[in-house]
Amino acid sequence: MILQAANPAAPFLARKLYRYRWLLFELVARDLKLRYRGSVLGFAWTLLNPLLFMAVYALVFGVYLRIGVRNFPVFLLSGIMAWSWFVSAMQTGTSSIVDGRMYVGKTVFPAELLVIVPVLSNCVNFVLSLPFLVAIVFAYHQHLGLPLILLPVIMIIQALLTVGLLFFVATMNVFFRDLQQLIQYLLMLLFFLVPIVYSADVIPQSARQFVLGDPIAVIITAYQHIFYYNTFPNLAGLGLVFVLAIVLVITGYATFSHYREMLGEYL
Amino acid sequence: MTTRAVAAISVANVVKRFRYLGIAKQTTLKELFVKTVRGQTHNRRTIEAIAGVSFSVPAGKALGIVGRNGSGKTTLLRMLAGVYAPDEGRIAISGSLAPLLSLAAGFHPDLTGRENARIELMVLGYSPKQIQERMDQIVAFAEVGDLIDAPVRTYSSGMMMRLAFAAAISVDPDVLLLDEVLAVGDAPFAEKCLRCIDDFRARGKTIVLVTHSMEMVRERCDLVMWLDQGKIMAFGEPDMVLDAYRKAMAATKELERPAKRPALRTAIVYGNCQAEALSNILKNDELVGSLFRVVYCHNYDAPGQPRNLPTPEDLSACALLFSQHGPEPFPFADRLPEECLTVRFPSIDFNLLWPFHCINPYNKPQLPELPWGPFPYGDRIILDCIEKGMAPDDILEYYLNGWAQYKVDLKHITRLDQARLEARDGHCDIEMTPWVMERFRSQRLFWTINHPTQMVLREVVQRLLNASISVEPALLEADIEKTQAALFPNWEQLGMINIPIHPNVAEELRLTWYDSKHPFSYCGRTYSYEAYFREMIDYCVSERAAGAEVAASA
Repeated sequence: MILQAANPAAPFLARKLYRYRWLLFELVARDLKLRYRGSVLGFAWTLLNPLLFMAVYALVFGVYLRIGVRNFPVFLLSGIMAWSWFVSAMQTGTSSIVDGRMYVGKTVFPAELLVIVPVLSNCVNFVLSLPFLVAIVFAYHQHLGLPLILLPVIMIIQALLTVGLLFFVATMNVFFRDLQQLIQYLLMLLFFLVPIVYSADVIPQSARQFVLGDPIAVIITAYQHIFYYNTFPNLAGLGLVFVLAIVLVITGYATFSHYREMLGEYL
Repeated sequence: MTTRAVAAISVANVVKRFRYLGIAKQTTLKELFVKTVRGQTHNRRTIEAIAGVSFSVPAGKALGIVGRNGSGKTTLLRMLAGVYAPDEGRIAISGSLAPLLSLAAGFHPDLTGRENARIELMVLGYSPKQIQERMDQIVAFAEVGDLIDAPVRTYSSGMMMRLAFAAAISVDPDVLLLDEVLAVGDAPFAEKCLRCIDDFRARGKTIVLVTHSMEMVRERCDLVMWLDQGKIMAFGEPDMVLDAYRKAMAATKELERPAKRPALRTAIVYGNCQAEALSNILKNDELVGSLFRVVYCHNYDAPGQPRNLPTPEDLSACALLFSQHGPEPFPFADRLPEECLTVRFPSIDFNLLWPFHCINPYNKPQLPELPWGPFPYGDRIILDCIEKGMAPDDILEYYLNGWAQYKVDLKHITRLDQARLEARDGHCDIEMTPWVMERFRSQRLFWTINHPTQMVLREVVQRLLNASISVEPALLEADIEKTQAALFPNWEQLGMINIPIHPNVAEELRLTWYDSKHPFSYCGRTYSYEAYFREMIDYCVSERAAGAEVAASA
């Protein structure tokens, strides 16, 4: 084993992830276990969460406000499940380095895993609630088809984008703890800027491009294409977001590596 | 890796710089804004923690690293472990590596000992199957028993060290890195670790250890490195290097001493008489006393003496507040400097050993010449007997042999005691319940219901110091046991109070330290168990008679 100046390049990250695959697996499993420890329903919450979400939002936006989208519960659910994956990962991920302070800086523990774990554990949650979404789709006599093969691709893009963002946010959160609070508000604002509880048709033509250009909106609408419209999403848009996600991971990891040895001193 | 079979560790021209950002710890955006406006964020200094170090350690040798605090020992060890990467130069290590770097770091307080050990080994790259094979060995070596499945926050520092050591040793590494870890923990375990280290060396493995113990270096190292300000001052045979090191230390100590005095910070200990005893230990400890001026502050009104309160200077120079959980929080909290660290700790009472006690039965002022002296404790069984009009001899006979009639549910009291202690722990930063419950059977931890022995005080002090290392890392090196031994050569009790324990209570609780034939030495006199209670019964009888007279005349 030879130790030289740290390599902040992303391929190094991939190698590290492979080397620590067991640890990563253990941490994700632990995260999931802890989340439902002490709750009676346990993993049933994975399914109950989207159900309750759907019930409330369908009532407010489908019945009271009359958004006017056909089969509104299907539309809502196809976007909001992926959104809650993104939001939960961002919320726990932002404070992940601060929360894992016992591992950072003083031991050989690979701190980058702390950032990746919330993305993966929420991804597992997302996957586990997919059957519920499929059931709702069929319950409303809608169809699923070939576009479904793009689902893993979209999920990978979303995971990369979230990890890339988190490398920046979680690192900076060590120095400025306000970020933890700030991010909550930003996510709430973003929720209404992304067409989740309304369809993109209601956005005025002049603003539509602007709203749909948001990378999160691109990803969310891609899910809606698969599960609601049963059509292929905008591949060019997805491609661009993929490139953006890769750039974010590379620069985010470089930023994290730059501050890595300083983190321990601030925790 | 195989080409360098001779040198297990080789380090060439290694430099490590640390940057100081102009941003203080836990900055808020507001502060950052203010600092940006004032142009204070661009203050980027660097220091060379390791300034061009080269050496190699042949396989099978033990290297000891010595040096003052801040000389770069820990940085160097962390670089060998791979925590820090060198800015310049190259470090090569052949074979597998297990670092044991710092105690609490690396353990998640909410996870159990087993889960933490699993994660520890996974960090070293082991698969779940390999870990499963080693887990029994780890549990056995760590000697934590059933607590292996309890959260690590309930562990004592000694237990934590045992678990960390057991995990590191279980992988049988080729190179073992140890950072001052044997400083904590009890003597038998330290010995076990030393045997383990000796065995390690005998099998041709390589060890690097950072320590302040010259004895350890002299006995167990083949090579010694003396580091100062990131540079190697000497490297080679232990005797030669240690001699040079000691001479240099003696010379600098004389130079530094007068300059250090005025900048002494205050450590305030707030609480009851237990806290006062803790403050006495801290005050008399050489290391703590050299770093802090220890001030005790009452949280109660002791009869006949004024409250001991801190002065404004004490408060403004206060870096550490050890605050006992009690009836009221520290009254001057708003006058402490912002960076002052508060560590809350519990007051430790234990009713279990004296299930019949009742405090101050006749509500009379104290009579110091009596055995129970300034704290008049009574005994419910004895008082009941007096109420029934039994003669003193019969009372003693009944008290000692009537256990079958009046015996109480000690299991229930045990649960109550534990719950009460845990409730207190819940308000505090350090936790004592598991430690007390684990040991009260094998060691004498209490002289009376609320007077713990020096054994307990030592553990509390140790934990307070461990919790304060963010303020002063050197506190970890305080040798409390030595200070106590100097203060209390005979392990005297606190406050001259000692209540004997009913032999049946001792038997039912299976107190292994208990010896009913052993006389109680107390207030300068020695009592047998019977003689003590005979005197106590006579006292209670006469007090009751006096009380009846007062009532009659009224």
